[in-house]
Parts: sequence; structure tokens; C-alpha cells
Amino acid sequence: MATLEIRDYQKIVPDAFHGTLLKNVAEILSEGFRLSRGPSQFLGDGIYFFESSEWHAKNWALRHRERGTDRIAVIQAIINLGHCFDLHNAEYRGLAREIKTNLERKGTKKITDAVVINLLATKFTIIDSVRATYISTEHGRGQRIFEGSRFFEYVQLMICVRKVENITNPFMVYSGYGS
Amino acid sequence: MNDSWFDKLKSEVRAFFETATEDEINQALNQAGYDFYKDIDVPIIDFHERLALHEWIGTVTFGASLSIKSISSKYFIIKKEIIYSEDMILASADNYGYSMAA
Repeated sequence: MATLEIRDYQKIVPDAFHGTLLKNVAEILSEGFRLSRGPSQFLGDGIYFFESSEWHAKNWALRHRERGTDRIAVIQAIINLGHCFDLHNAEYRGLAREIKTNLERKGTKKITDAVVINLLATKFTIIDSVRATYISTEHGRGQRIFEGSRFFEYVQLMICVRKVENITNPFMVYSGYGS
Repeated sequence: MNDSWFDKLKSEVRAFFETATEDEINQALNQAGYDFYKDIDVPIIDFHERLALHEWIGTVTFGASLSIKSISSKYFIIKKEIIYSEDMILASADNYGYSMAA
């Protein structure tokens, strides 16, 4: 049987979804995504996608539009994770903890996920993307999908892409008012 | 391979913290946007919180009488459970296209 060899740094996510406002779509599709910094970017600088969930991207855009009359959009893309700081990996989580501990020992306070990841990416080896699962517990979202289930209701598999060239084949899969 | 990439990353991190001076740490933190990101400990600001911020900044902008500091204080009163820094308030205001000149 033939063996398909895919190295870790070539891991591809074929169905990543980015929520935005419709007015931004033309510029994104013609000029590409831009690396950004923002108050909702808890994984640090980058372009944020929800893996395998158009619903979460739509929901994000709905919650972040300025007015109820704004049309939202969802862009689907293929992501090459490249050198990915994947927080599903225990060693990677361990390194993040190590950095936090070291910074605290040196007297730094208020160390967030974004600070640790940005520090890794700007001071050390290049990081093309960051991948993490977030389980929201706010506003009762931490409930399990049904009584006795091991799985949670509001789970987001997020990808923060730092190297924009690793975002390919973007196209709009949804536009509208979200209803 | 990703393993060697990660091993290299880990080695670099450890080597850095073994010898880094306070200045070098501060320089690395500045480069990482520490002042901006130090308060971002919630993934996504909830819609209602955003809405409150949105309306409030609108009021301040049009009222044109309050300082940035008092915006933070007022916002703290609106949402007691989450404290946002001025940098975050300003970034959000910028996202919404508001001028903060009061």
C-alpha cells in the first residue's frame, strides 16, 4: 500500500472560517488578509479562523458588528498551519507555562496568553500559526451537550494565523444578516 | 520536522531566560506588545459588553466632556466583572471608528 507522507509543518486545514463584515470582504479577497492586533485577540497578533465551523465564524461576526443593520460575511480558506504552536500538545502548553513562570520570577505581572504567544513569536523561532480549543463558560455556555455527556456545548477550535501567506484559496461562503 | 522546530524553540527560550537582564526582558515584552495584550485575558468580548462600550463611547464622543480615564472608570462601573485597560478601550473605539478626542 502506498504511504502518504505529510510532515507536521505541512499540516493542512481545509475548512477554516473567518467571520467579518461584508464591507471588508472585497478588500480581503483582492489584497489579502492583514496581520492585526485587536482587543479580542487572545492568542496574540494574527488573523483568526474557526476550524470546521462556519457557525462560529458567523456568530462571531454577528456579535462584533457595529449595528444590527450591518451585513456580515464568512470567508472560508485553506490554512497551512506550518510551524504551529498547537496548544493541544502538552509540551507546547508546558513551554507556555514555563515562559509565564520565568516572566513572573523576573518581576513581570499580568501575563496573558497573548503576551506569551507574541513573545514566543517575536523573540524566538518563527511561528506561522497558533491553534487552540476554547471552551466558553460565560453566560451558561459551559454546559454539557446533554446530561451525562462528556462533551461541552460551546467549544471553539481556533486558529490564529501569523503568516498570511499560509492562508490560501479564500472565498466567501456566506453573506447576510445572520438570520 | 516540527519536533526539531519545537526543540529549538524550547532551547532558545531556556537560554534566554537563564541570562536575560531586566532590560532584555522589557525589550522582548515591548516587542511582543505587552502593554496592549496584558489585559486581554478573555477570548472574545461578549456582545452585550461590546454594546455597552459602543453606546458609552458614543455618548462620550458626542458629549465631548469626559477624559479617557473617566471612560475607563465608567466602563468599569457598567461591567464590574471585567476591567479593561485604556489601551483596550482605545483600540475598541478605533475599531468602531470613534474619535476619542473629547
